[in-house]
Amino acid sequence: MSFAAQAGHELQFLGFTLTELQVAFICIAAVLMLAFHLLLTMTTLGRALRATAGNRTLARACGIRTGRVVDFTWFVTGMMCGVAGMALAATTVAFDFNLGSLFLFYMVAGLLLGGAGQPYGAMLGAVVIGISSQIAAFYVNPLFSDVVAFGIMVVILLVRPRGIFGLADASSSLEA
Amino acid sequence: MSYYALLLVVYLGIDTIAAWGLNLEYGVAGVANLGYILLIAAGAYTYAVLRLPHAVNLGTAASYIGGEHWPGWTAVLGAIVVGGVLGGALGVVAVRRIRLDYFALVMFGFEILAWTIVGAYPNFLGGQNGLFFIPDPGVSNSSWSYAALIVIVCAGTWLILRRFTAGPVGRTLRAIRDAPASASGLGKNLFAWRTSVQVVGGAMAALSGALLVGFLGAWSPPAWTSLETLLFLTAVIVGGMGSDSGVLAGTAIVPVLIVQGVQFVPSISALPALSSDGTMLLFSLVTLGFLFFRSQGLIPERRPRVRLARTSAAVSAAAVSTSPVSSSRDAAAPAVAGRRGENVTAVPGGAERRTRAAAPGEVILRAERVRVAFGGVLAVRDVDFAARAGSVTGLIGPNGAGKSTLIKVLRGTQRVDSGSVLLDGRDISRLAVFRRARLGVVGTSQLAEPFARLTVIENLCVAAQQQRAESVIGLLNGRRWWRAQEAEFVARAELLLERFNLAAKANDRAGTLSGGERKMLDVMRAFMAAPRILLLDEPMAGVTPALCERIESALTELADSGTAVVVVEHDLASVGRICDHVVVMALGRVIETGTMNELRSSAVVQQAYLNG
Repeated sequence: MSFAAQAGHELQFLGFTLTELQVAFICIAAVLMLAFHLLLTMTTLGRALRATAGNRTLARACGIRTGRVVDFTWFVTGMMCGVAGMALAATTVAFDFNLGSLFLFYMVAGLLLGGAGQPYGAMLGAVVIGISSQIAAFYVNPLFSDVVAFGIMVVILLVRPRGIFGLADASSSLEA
Repeated sequence: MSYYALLLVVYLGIDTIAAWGLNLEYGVAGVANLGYILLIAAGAYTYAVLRLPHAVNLGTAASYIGGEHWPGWTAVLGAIVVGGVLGGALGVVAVRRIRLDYFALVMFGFEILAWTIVGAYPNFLGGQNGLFFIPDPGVSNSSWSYAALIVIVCAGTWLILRRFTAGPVGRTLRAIRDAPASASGLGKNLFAWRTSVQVVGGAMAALSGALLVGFLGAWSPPAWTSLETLLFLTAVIVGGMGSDSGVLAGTAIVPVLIVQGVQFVPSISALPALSSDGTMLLFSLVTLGFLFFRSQGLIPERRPRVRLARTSAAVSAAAVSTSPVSSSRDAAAPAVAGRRGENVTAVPGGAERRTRAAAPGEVILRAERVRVAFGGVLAVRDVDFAARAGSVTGLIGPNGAGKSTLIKVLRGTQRVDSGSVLLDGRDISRLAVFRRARLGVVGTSQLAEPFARLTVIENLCVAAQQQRAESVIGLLNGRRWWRAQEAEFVARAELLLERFNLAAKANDRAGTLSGGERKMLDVMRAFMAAPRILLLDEPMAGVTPALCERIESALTELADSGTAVVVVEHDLASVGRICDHVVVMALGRVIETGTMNELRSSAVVQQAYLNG
């Protein structure tokens, strides 16, 4: 299946040309990030979520229905994936069922870059991976977008093993 | 048909070698490697470049570097060396720095990098077209002699592999897999072990790659996509993680029967010939089926059963003859030592390890002005502490006093912010946990962490120091080099098990033990390491009172044999029974020292407990 190229105005920004649709999705991403931030910090559910992530047994003992929290997490994750899929499909001229196959690895790279368990880190990581791989695809060689994405991930993890925002363990061990 | 059978045998052998290597890394040593196919490809390319003639017209514009035209077996050897070096190098760079789950992904990243780069440069290794017309290694690759070669190489690989996966070395690797922190606390160098495993795994992958190219005669990027790693990983999971024979079975099913087999035998099913998508579908279903219904795999990892030398009657007799511990140390020690003249805590071979015997009362381990801060909280504030040979020192105080942190500082699991830890006057504050353990500073943490998939008696044997098997000589010589020492370890472990009433569970997996039993196992493991300084963080929490008495008597006995024992304990009656000397901490400071009787009447101590 294929779509006709999107209609609408084109906008110039820092040397990039963006269609209105792309700008709209960037805005949606920003709004979702904000919503996510508010969910985690301002709501009871967000606190329950963070408590469950921190120590599931203890969270249960404190009266949090951790099973529900996990179900809810899957629900939200699914919704976010739905939005991402919509954005991907709508901004790609042609798509088939293989379109997202390597996407998982970009996501994991972004996640690790920020530091697992760090929502804001994941946001930043995704932005870094996404933009750098697209820039590389444009300026260097489309083949190299993967190389750049994973190269950045490898280098950052070697320099900061717990990701950009990853916290050091409470006990900084001399173990290995 | 006969060529088809040959194909299956050859693929089975080649894939098995690769899957064994991955199983050694992941199933046995616990280091997942999602870029494993990169090492197979490294072996394949190395073999091809070493084996190809100097100049050959490949019929395209593509060319390749090298072309050394080496004899077949040297090219295979070269591939093995390159695989080992590459595996080791990646291990050194990544394992040291990165959490293991990240390491798996970093390896995946390396694989994508290498794959893209090799594919992008036609003049380097043939680019996307790859290399072809690669000669066989001197054995015709279209006859059964190649299958024979593969079988022989497989058998040889098995013998070498078993040096790592069976016996004491396999036990150590599995201990590191199950509980890395406990293993390093018992003197295991995690980095060295994990890197060695990467070297061996890399060499096996490269051997497999070289033999594959020798068989196929061609090699190009489509042959080593990242999906291939998944195939070997599935072979390991389906066969049984950590089980070498299981992995052989898993390889027969997943890469060979499903991926290679099915596409050649369309007639076995009513379906038309399976497309590659159909193969992937079948592969996914089998994998999911195993993960849901038999996650331990076809042939699960088996643990050796040790036949205990003593009968259960002797054990129960011994249990009866051990008189209950009285409140006096003088009464307790002979009661235990007198039992058939065996002293559990006196360790054969332990004394020679010690650099010098400390006189009773001499300070062996000392903390000087140690300070530890967590964020803005000063957990330990400029504390001085001393552990004396031949005595039990109690460390007490209300919650949050900094007792556990101080123990961690002494063990080396917690860095100091200032101050130092001195062993025999030598500063060891910067020494890693495993190095301190080798110097005789051994301890337990508040949370017991057994090596869950090892048996109880294996848990103890892991802890024995100076294992002959854990050396290059041991690996080269095999069983005869360490058999006698191993028997000695087992005998010592058995004595400990009897002593602590766990002999009946000697062959159970440690993961099946109850909380109290795990705690006991932790203490016993520390005993097994024959420490000069034993640091215990609440060893008796959750242990039944009868067994607490046994721990108490064992600790006093250990101290009597010259060890410096330090115990954090909340049960003050117990502290009063076993400790010669008690240190009271509150809010990160040492507020009082003395014997338990002196401290009971101390106003400062009472105040601290009431306020704490």
